[in-house]
Amino acid sequence: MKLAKESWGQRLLAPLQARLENRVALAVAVPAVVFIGVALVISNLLLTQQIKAGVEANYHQDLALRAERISGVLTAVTGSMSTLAHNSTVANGLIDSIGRETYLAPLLGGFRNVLGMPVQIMLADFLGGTVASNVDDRIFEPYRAWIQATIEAGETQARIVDGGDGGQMILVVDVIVYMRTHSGEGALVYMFPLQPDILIGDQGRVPHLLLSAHRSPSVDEMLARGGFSESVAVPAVLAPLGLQIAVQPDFSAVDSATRQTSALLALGGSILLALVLLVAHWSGKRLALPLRNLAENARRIGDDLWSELPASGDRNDEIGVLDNALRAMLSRLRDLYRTLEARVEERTRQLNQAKDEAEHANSAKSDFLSAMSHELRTPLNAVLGFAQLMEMDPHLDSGHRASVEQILGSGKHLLALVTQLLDLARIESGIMELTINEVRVMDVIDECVSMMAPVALRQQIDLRMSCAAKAGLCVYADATRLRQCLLNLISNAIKYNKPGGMVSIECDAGETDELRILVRDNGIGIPPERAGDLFQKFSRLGREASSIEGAGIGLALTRHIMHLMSGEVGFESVEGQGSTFWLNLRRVAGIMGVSTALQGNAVRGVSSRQAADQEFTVLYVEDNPVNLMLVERVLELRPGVRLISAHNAGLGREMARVHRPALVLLDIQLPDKSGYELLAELRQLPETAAIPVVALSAAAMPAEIERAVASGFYAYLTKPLRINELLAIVDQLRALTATPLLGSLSGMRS
Amino acid sequence: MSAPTGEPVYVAIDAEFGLPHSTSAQSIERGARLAVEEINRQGGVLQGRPMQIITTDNLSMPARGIHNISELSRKSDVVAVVSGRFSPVVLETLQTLEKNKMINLAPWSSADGITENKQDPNWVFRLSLKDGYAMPVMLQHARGKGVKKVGLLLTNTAWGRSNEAAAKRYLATVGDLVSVGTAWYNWRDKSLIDKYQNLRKEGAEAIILVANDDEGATLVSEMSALPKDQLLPIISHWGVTGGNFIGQMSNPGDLQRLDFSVVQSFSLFRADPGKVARVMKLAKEIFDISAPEQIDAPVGFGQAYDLVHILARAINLAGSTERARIRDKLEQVQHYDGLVKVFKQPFSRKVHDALVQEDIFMAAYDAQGVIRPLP
Repeated sequence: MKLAKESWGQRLLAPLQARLENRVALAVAVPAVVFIGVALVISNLLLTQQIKAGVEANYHQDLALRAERISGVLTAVTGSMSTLAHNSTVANGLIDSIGRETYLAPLLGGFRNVLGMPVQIMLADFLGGTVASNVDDRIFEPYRAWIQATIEAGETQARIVDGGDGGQMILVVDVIVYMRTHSGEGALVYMFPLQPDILIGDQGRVPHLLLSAHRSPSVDEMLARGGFSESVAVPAVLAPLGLQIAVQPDFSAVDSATRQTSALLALGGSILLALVLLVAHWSGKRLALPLRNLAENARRIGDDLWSELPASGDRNDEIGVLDNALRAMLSRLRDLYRTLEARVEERTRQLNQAKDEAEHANSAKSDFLSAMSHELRTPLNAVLGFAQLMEMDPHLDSGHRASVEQILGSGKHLLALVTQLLDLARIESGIMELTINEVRVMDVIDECVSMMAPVALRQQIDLRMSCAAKAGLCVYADATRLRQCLLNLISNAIKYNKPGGMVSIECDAGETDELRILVRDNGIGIPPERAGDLFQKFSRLGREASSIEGAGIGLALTRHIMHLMSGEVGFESVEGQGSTFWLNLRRVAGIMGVSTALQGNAVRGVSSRQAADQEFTVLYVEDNPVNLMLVERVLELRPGVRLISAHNAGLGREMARVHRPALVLLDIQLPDKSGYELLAELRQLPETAAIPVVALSAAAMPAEIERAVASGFYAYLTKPLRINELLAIVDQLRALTATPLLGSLSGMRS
Repeated sequence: MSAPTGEPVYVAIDAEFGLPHSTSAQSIERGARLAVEEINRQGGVLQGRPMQIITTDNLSMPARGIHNISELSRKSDVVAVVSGRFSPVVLETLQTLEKNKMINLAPWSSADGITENKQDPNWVFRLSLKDGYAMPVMLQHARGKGVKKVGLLLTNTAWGRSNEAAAKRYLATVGDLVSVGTAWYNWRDKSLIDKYQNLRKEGAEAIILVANDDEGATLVSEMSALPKDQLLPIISHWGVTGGNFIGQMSNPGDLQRLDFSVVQSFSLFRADPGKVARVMKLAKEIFDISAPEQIDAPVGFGQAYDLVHILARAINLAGSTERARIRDKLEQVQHYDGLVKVFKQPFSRKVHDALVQEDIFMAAYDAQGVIRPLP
């Protein structure tokens, strides 16, 4: 709250405070204004108070005087009437008809006005009937019953009655008691108005003056509006009426006087304020000019350290000292700047060097990984490729076949190991790149189950999946890496199982926004003491049991990958009963349709025999003769497929143009140019523009695969070459060339 | 004669029953009751209807009298109202009487205007003193004492003025007596001595007093403080006899220091002894009063007694309780042998006063407070 106030105040003053003389003026003027303002307000308040108090006192005094005067009038009226009532001549009228007709009416008539108060008098008999009156006695008509009752009660009484014209009247029955009988034999009845204008006369001076009976609404109202009241001392007979005189004070004169005073004070204050401001501004300016010069110099230096300053004014005061200090400081600053500049240059050079070295090291690391990946895979490609070919040879005897299988098994294991090691290295050096897409879980599981089904069959493990209900669910993941993780878990579940065992893959979507893929087995389970370091690299269960292969990298790698995909991996296990490993991933709301991967699967099912009789030329652009030989041997498996080859890009392009092959297999790392460049060239040539080109590379980085597909490759096959994949593509294209739909084929991802 | 059994015929008495110290109303009632008793014992009126007395109290106030007469007039069987001592009350009820066709029998009130009213026919029948008769008797009494100058001390009412007029009329006829002036006192005045002294200083040798019992007692009490040479003879109208005059004095012996005489129109000590004996016998029977001395305010007693008897005859003459007829017959009753005197014809169309100047005499209180005629 306080902060907000300050900032508000600061905002208000900000434009003023921009100039020093204003600040100085404000510094002088604000306290002065506050002081003068407070003094004015207080004096004005005090003055108003005093005037009001004076007026109030006057009102009270006036009221008291009026009350006294009214009291006097009332005393005079009731006194005269009482005298009349007790006068034997008047009372005699009750028994003397002649008298009442002769002298009584004139006598009462003489009392029509008592001290200015008009009094209506009636001599009444014991029934309240008129004996004599100084007015038309019909005005007493409404009160006859009360008058009679009062006479009968024998006690003089007064009451307030309506005067007829809205005003009030005091009606008094002064009972005439016959001494001998002690009975009320009549009364002097009189009535007089309760109107202030008659009582007071000069109503104009005190507005709304009111004389009224006690608890009269009009008095109460007036008092509620801040009026004053005064009780009127009255003769005993009127006392029960509780007469009060009230006045509605009129402070308009006070207000007007106060306004005038306020206006005068405000005017005086304003003049004083203006003077203070002028003086403050003038002194501020005198102070501010040299300061502004200093500020200008400082600004120039700020803009350009080397700018020339105007000559100093040789002042001896504080400003002169300040000017000299500024110039000395400038000189020192320039020295410092020069030194600093030199240092910065040196530092920058060093930093650039360090940066270059770091970048070089990083690039070297990437290059190393890339090279290692390539260099390790290339010989393995050859080993596995030829072993596969040998395995397919029907003339192989059983001894050799066992050896070939041994080579294939070990080679595949080595390949997997290399791949995993490289992945781990990539992740740890932070160069692992993932492409997170919406991935249909069912596709991935399907793929993995298909891939692992033969292994499971060999181990006599019942591999099943029960995710049909969740078939359409999708997660955010890198499809390739998710498959890698899931394969890892399934592979382990099969590996650490016993013949006749079971592995099931399930999905659990639940109500959360996560999806869990579970791999459940009833294998040997995990002892509790091992559960803690299961996800450490090179921690391998069953290392003692030589029958189980593995490098102990799979789970560590899985955990890393899942982490990169904002997912989780975990497990529950009971030793001897089995384990359940699970993968958690963020779910995509909704359900996705059938994916391209499935289309790929469908294509795989095309029969090779259909296109067998047609001539199908494949151009292989490859600089490595071992790889060329391998592909030659593979394609021999498909009768009618003719392989031509080129050992560099230039030759490859020429051969493609001349022979117009049905398929071009292209190595990415060619001696003269990259596979991408050659592809672009081929797409430029009208003769070769429509030919499907499949990349064949040891570079297995996912980013590279993405890039290849995006560049226009029909497919991207990684080395070591999986013979079946290559044959599938060949079969697919052969089938399609028989139809006119070839041109509309979309790319296929591997 | 068997007792009457028919519907009663009512005679009302509106008088000052509740006025303290007053005995006039009670005395009037006794006289009326005795008459009613005698009439009823002789078979009542209208061949077997008993007469019955009802009373109302006016406390001597005219307004109350008017009110009472109005109320009584609503009853058809009330044939007449016997009024009380106070002339102002009777005078003020005149209009009400005429308006309601109500007969007024006046056994005491003496103002001339009571019968000399402007009514035609006249509803008031008086058997009593009349100021026009009283004043000559009183002034004659003064002359008899050798008084040459009298002072009039009068109540400031119609009664007082009636007497002043009567006095002036009389004094105009004599050469040896003058009035030094008239002093008027008012109702509720607490003192009369100043007025008395003024009259005395004016040269009055005797005071003609027109007052009631209370005012008279006030004057007598005040006079007892005066030296003997300032005590003038008081020749009083009979208002003082309507109440306990002596009892209201500060000292009952005061009256004996004075020469105090009072005018009267009836006295049991002057009446026919045979009639008095008969009446006193019945009074003894009904009121346990055996001696004439025990009858207070005797004028009211005797005059009311005679008035009721005259009324009974008029009722019988009228043959109904219709007031207008009875009023007519009251003017025709003849040969009534009353207690006050023997009346040849008490009232006529022109004369509504049953008594005459010659019936009036002076009396005085004896030591026992009994009013006895002066020789």
